[in-house]
Amino acid sequence: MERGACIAFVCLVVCAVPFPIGTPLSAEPATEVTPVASTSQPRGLTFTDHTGRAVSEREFLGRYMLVFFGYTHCPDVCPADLMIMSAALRELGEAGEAVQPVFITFDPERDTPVVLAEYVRHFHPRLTGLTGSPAEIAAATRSYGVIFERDGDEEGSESADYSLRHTALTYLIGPDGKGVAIFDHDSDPVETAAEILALLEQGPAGAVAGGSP
Amino acid sequence: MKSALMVFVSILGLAGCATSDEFREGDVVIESPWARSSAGRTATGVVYLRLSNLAAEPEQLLGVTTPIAAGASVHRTMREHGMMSMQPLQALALAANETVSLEPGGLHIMLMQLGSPLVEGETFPMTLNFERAGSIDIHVTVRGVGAMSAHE
Repeated sequence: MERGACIAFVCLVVCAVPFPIGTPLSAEPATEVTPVASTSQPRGLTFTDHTGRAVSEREFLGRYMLVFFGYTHCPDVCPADLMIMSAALRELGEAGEAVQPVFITFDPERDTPVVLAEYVRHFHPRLTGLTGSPAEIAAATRSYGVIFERDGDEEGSESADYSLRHTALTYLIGPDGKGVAIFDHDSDPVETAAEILALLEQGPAGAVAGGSP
Repeated sequence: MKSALMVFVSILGLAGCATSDEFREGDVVIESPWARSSAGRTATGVVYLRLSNLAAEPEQLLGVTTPIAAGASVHRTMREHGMMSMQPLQALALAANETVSLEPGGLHIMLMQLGSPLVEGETFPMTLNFERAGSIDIHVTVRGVGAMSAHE
């Protein structure tokens, strides 16, 4: 199975099946997850964007989305993956304009729209930041199979300085709202761009056909 | 021959001190310290650098302080079962003649509760305390929030 089809396959599984919290998730071995047909419809997820506007995921239908979940207090991992997303879009040039970059926080307590607005503009001019109520964010992370949990408080710091253990995958979502591909933490931006371009050219229907091993 | 080589290495080391991003005290050399812009935030920051222990004995980085943050400590980014997490280190050990790079995705110095956001292009002072070499004062250059090395 070629690599593009492989990542599409893994993503169909990951995106279609809500993972129980605590399930170890690995991007690489497809054998760790059980294949199922992708029949999921748009999930009715709702958010507040970085301008403070209430948005539904349905507003993103019709466009490709490149989605990364993280939190702004994350000093090392999240900026690296957002930078890779940004570099991949730059690498895509005009083709990248068909892709909406999205950063969804799983730390809505601290990541208010104002905090997100200041943060996202440093990565990409079109990057949309999404936060929401804890229930909205829980629904979104369940839907994507994103896992996060609070680490023990750091030595010498106040409890407000908690950090989070989390998965760090980037998801390419098709115009129909279904998962097309998944990119691992610390992927190469040029390779990521090439895989996205191949998937864009293939179209949403072709991506779904990649599901047979 | 060996002593001549050591003298040569020492001269190189001293010459290196003239550049703005290399710092040396005793047998410890700190190179290319840089931070990511904190993207307008004051909660956390991150510093990367390269540490060399030129001594024939082990050394330890025991602590880090900076006037611009309430706290600073060495962390290691870990990956287990696809989950990323950060583990604080009590001390960072350097074996004899060892160089350790603190770089994105691995070891880093995490700054907590910044007095103000880290802005690209600015520099700030930081002190690293070593078991044998004592305190070394350095200046850290702030790069872009998406920077992956000291030279972006």
